[in-house]
Amino acid sequence: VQWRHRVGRGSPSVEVLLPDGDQLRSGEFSAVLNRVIAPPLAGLARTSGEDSAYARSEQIAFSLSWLRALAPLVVNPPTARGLAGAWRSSVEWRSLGRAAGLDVEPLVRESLAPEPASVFPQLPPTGMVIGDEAFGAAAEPRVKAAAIRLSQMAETPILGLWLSADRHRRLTMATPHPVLSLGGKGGVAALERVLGA
Amino acid sequence: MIVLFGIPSESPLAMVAGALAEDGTDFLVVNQREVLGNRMELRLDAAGLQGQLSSPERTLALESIRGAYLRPMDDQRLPEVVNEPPESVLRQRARGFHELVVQWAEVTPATVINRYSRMGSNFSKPYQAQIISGVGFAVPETLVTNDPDAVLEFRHAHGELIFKSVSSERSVVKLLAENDLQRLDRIKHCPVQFQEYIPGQDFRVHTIGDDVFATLVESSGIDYRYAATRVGEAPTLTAVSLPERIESLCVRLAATLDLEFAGIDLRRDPDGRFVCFEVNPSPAFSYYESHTGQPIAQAVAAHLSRRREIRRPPRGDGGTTASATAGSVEELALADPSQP
Repeated sequence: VQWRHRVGRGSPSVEVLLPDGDQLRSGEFSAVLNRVIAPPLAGLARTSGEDSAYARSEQIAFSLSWLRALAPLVVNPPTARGLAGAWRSSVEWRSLGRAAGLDVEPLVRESLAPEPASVFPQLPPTGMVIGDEAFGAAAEPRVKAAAIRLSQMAETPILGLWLSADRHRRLTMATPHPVLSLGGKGGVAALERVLGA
Repeated sequence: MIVLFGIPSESPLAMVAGALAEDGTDFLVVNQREVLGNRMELRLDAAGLQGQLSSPERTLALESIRGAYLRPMDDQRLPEVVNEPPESVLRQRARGFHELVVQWAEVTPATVINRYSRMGSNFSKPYQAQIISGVGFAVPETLVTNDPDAVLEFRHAHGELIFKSVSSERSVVKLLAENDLQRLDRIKHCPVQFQEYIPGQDFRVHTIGDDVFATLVESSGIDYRYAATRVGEAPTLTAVSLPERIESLCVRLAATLDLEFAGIDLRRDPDGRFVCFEVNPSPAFSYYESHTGQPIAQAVAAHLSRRREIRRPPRGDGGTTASATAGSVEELALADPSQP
């Protein structure tokens, strides 16, 4: 794959020449559905140690920039905390969820018993927001408006939420990279609307 | 209550601590190297965010903290930890405390310099350049590519080029020399960032909220940060004022990036145009303050305390260090050519 990514006086641009001869050029798309979690790093297999870590950083930093330049609208927008939207700790998601008006599962964290910043439940998210529409548990009238508000506050138009199974529907965690099938056909239509298709 | 987190002897942290002490502000330095003595507990429920932060010195309620200055080094490289085995208790304690402080900093209503989530744009220089350009600053013409032919075309269009990392790692600026062209094929393995070389005068601008401290940096090196070791000549630093429009753009840029404190690198080209290279979200300002006398630490301390009165030294009475010519340099604030 050949890359040419420009930033400067004009609009940022990216041109990608694929191995089969196809080309992608920014300016040819009005919107992009972004599901990139990480750039392909297979090419770094021959590097090791600090060189490998450096090359990995370079690839991720490059992806962050060209994804932003690919189209006027990229959903979810790439961020420095995640190429397809920011990954946040459960502390942060619950704090943001509380500010958005959701009930949140109480949480206690202790530095002597650390757990990774992002601990994801075993099962997929129970609710999802796409733009200004909610699906699954997030579509229930009690939480719908707050779930959409959380997605807006997080600047993450596509957002998966883990909401408790009880009547309170308390937020425990969220992800910028939910399985889209949770939205069904309605989810596809919501994606079309978000992307302006 | 203000909290400073890092290594107490590190110059920026020590200078902010000094400024807080001078003002009589109550503060706590949480020494990152006290791996076994530091502890944090955080609770989030319907009542909100509560908890406590303990160091060997004191224990604070998290709700009492109004400001925090974060300058930690990589906790896994602390002298107390670096030779420990991967699963050692010390390593886990250092990691656990560091992670929880970072998570707390994201959600506390206190003034934090700076939240880690806001520091991320500096991780990708071309990504940050897009934001810088969006604010209204000129940025250098930049090409990131793994195509040697594209580099040659870019060089033909823009003349002399520099190259540097895309990320914030190993970020040393180098001129693209003839002998580099012989090994240009090597970029096929990983895209590299090339930029038009812009000659001119370097400026480092520190913004703290709405306060602006501009420093002219005169150096014979391509990258003044390494001039002393590479060309054997330390840069000369001078406190200056910049055109109001440029200072306002700097404040707006820092606000756009949501940075309470920022170090902005500008160059004024021979046509008088200011070009912005990057924004450092954790500036080591002590280097500039010690050479110019600009009261940056005091401004940081005041911002953490939410007090706005900064005691600037009178113009013409700035720093006096050997390699500095600080002081009144209003005459250096040349007209911005983009202004009518």
